[in-house]
Amino acid sequence: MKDLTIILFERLGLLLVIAFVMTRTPGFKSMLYREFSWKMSIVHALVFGIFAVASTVNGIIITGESAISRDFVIYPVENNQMIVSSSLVAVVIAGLLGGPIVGLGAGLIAGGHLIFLGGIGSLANGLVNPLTGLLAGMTARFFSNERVISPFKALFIGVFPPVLQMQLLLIIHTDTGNMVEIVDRIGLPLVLSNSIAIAIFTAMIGIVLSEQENEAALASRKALTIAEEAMPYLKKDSPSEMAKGIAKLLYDRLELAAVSVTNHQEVLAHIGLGAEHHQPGEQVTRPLSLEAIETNKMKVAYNRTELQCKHEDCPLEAAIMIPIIGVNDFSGLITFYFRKAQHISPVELMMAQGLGQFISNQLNILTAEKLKTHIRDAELRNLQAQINPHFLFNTLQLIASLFRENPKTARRITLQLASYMRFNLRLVSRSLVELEKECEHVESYTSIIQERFAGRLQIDFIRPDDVTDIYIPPSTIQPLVENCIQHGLKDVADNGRVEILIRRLERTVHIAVRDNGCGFPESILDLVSHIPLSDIKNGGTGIYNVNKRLISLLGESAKLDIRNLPEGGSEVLFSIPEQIQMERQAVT
Amino acid sequence: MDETFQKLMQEKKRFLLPALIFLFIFYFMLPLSLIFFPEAMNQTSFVSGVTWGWLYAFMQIPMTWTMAWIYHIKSKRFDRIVEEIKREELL
Amino acid sequence: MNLTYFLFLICIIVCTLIITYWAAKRSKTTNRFYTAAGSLTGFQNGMAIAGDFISAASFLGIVGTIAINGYDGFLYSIGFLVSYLIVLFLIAEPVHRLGTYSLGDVICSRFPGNKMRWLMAIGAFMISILYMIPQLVASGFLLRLLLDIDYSISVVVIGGLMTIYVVFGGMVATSWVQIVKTVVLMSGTFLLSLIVFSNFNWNVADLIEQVKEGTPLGDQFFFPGHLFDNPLEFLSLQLALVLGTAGLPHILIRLFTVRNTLEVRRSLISSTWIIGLFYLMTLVLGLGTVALLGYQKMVAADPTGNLAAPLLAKEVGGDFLLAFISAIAFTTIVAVVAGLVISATTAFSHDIYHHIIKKGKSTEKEQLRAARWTALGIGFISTLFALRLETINVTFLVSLTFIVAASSNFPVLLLTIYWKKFNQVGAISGMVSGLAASLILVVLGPHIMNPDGGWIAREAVISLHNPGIIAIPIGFLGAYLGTIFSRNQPQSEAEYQRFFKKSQTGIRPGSESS
Repeated sequence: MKDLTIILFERLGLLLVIAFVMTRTPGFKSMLYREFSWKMSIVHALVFGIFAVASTVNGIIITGESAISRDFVIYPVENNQMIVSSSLVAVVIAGLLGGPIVGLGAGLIAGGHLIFLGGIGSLANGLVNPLTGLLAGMTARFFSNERVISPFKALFIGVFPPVLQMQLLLIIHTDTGNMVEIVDRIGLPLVLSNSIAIAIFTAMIGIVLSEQENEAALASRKALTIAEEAMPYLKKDSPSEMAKGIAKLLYDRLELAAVSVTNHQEVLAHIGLGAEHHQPGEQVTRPLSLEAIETNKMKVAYNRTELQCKHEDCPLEAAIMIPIIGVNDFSGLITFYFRKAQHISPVELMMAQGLGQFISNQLNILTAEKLKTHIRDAELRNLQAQINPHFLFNTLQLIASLFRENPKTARRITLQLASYMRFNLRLVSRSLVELEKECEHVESYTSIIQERFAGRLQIDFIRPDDVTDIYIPPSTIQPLVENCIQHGLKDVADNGRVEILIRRLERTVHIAVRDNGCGFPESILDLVSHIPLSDIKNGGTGIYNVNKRLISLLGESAKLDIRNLPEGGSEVLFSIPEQIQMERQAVT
Repeated sequence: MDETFQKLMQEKKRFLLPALIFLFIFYFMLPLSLIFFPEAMNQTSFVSGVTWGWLYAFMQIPMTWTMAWIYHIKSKRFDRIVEEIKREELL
Repeated sequence: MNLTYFLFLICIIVCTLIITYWAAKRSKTTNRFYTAAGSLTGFQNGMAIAGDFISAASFLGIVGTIAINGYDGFLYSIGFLVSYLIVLFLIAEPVHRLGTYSLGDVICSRFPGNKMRWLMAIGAFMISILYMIPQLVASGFLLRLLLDIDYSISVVVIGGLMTIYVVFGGMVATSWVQIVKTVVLMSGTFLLSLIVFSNFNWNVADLIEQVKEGTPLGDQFFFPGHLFDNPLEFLSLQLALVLGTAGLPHILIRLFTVRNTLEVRRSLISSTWIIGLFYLMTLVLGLGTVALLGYQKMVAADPTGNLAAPLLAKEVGGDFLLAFISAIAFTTIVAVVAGLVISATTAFSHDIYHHIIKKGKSTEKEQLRAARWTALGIGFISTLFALRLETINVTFLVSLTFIVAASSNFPVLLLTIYWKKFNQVGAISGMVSGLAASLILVVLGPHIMNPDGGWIAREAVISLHNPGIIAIPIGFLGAYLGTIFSRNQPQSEAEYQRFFKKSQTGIRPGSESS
């Protein structure tokens, strides 16, 4: 038995060498990666079947007790001889890699060959091959989700097919006198050699696949790096700057003969070979390019005629044209040039396709972002412009009633109202105003109010002396005061107090507005800054409005903090950073 | 809702009781016949070489399979009634 | 057997266990102690149930009993199989609907309380030990056959190894251990049967002829009565077997692992198919052993018949097949042991430790630790018992378990589900009387009290090998009397109706899910 084992290993060694060489050929590699199709399955089954047949040819013949023949098994054998073949290795691999159908196919080929060669146990040997192929295919899916099962698992699975083979020998060939001894003799060596061979073979295939995957991984990484580096160029406003930047980036990163970027009419940039005659400004005339732009599909030119370069000694012979569709009808073309058509490989094609897609998408996104910013600004301005019509109405009434008795006060109130409204108009055009101006706004409002509720309401306005250089979104304090008066103090007949407090701290400015009214109802305390409570008359929207604008412009840290005071009444406070970094557009 | 439940129990009883009785009789007649009719059990049956005793014992296996299958089919009906009950519960 | 083959045996066992491990990893069921419900299909669960059920007793013991005693051995197979109908018709669906992790849950859904949980856990514990003992005996025999080691040493070694495996690693065992084992066992047995048939050129008549020649009983081989001289034995045995499965905790908890009652039914039906086929094959193997190997040779190697199957393998396939079949037998034993310990430790750690001792507040780690100690205890006790039981065919030992289950768990379970007037005292008295009766009757029976070779060397008080026919009625009686004579207020009619409705339909008034 020991001899037999060693011989089997020797033979398998030969097979594994051939297998290894096979896995190095590109044909084999590409075979591994094809998608499933009936045709490919048949091809796979054939290849593995032939390999199994080779294993049989490479096998040994045993005769009687001890004789072992080491010749290759080419012709059918005598009736008292038995072929010991390692065809199961190839069949199991076929099943593990290709599934039940491939396994079955390979097994049928191997089995048929064995039956043809005859000898002791030929029927059982022949039968076990397709059976094993089928079973291996079915169980492989069961155990592992990887593309190729791990060699370790294959090792353990590989133990069982030879056992099955022995059993079949015992079942089918019981009348052969010494089958039991034969089984005893060849059983263990087959188990050992087959399972180890299967494991090694699987490992080899795994190496091939992981090589391919590494290549793919490297290509992906390159593509992603390019994508990242392209972003700053895409943001440029001037098309020719963007084109030059992108062209240079692509030329540097990919190994191309030349790169050119065009819009739908003329070349914007060209870097690399042939730069002397493919100048920026030159018209785009190549039919393939025009076709690419029209149909928005990538086109490839494989020879000079398709390339249609007017210059005789242009060294460029092949190109990939990638259309870019942007927004606002910008469309263009990025062209990868090659010196020879053979340089174009699937990697380049995929890279080109992906980049084209990416750049188109990015351009769209950037445009959309700019649009969003515009819209946001417009929205903000709109919010800012909401004036309370009731306030206007009541104030005019007040003026009318003061007209006769107290014309001086009436005049004063009128001027205050004018100032208030002027400020409101100014709101529409700015996102930030000086804090001083906002304080003026608040004061113009409060003096009107104090006149209206003379004697019943006291408003205190406490602020630091120096409020220069502090900017605040306009009309953020006044609505809060308005809210106190409208809601907090609406049921208070006397001794109403509103306190407006501005404090300057280290890096922030705290603004608080307090009243001693009825406070916020518990139920809406949480909601009032998040939802415009439009069913309360004119109310609620003010706080929502202010909150939204504060958050929108200054971020979450500036949001309103609303609470009811323990001694009765409510407080709304917020803080703004002292120095506001804003793009210049916002303040002007 | 309770009527449906009663209906379910009635149907179940209508199936299970006869099934169980049949099962018990078929099964226990085996040892009982061995006790009471040992001679008859040892006669060769219509299958050559196999006595009635063996045949009868052997038949227990297909009997089990068949009864299980019948129960499976019947239970689909029971399941439907249970669904009905569940729906009534929800209303 | 020489070393090479022994290594081959180890190799097959390792391969099977590793394959089990991968299969377990593949499913989303994790290393949880309590299998997540709904993760197995009906068929897969059926395979798992079959795996839990077909133990070394079935594989080794029945082949041996049939080989030695003919007809009487086959009766065991029949009893084992038909019992599944009882489970299917009466017990399976209510149990599935009423409980979540253990049988304790089921009973306690009608009779909540610590006493019940204790009792159920003790019952499960005892049944697990009783089921485990024959596995250890079988493995002791196997090891002796393979390596020529003394029986006692074999048992201690195996018992120790199994316990270590389960305590430290076996908690990983999931239903997939059982499923893989069922596949391996069925295919191995199938192939062996084919080999046997082909040895007779596929001619059954030849096989039967050869059987008659191989056994000293001659023509009489096929007649009943060689194992049981008292005809009452037949009845008693069949009674215990057919009712016993419905009381086996480690089988019944497999009804919790599927999603709904349809899958429960499918599980059980799949199991009956698998188990039925298996018993047909063991019949073939039993007959094959006596035909091909011959009675004399078999008994010379092992008078209990426990080793019939491996010996047959060696006869028709040499050491190679012997190693393979022995490996399968070992894997079977390991799988069953794992399943048993899991169920017993579930009962202990979930019911007793978590609910009772820690009042529902233990961490998973603590539960795991409690479970491990339980596993250790079970292994230890079983090994001790197994050491003294060298002369008994393992099928018989397993049937003891069935007697206990049929007298204690089954009556209580049945009455809890179906008897309106049943109450907690009745449940307790039923369990206790059933347990006590079966154990006492066995101890007083001819297996333990045997003038030559038994533990107690005296004439047996009760001459029945299988005292089922006495013990089971005692169990029912105990439950009945306990209920009648107790002063406990039985549950109100309405409460029982609610419970019954839930058990039949899965609907709890006020909730909608099943």
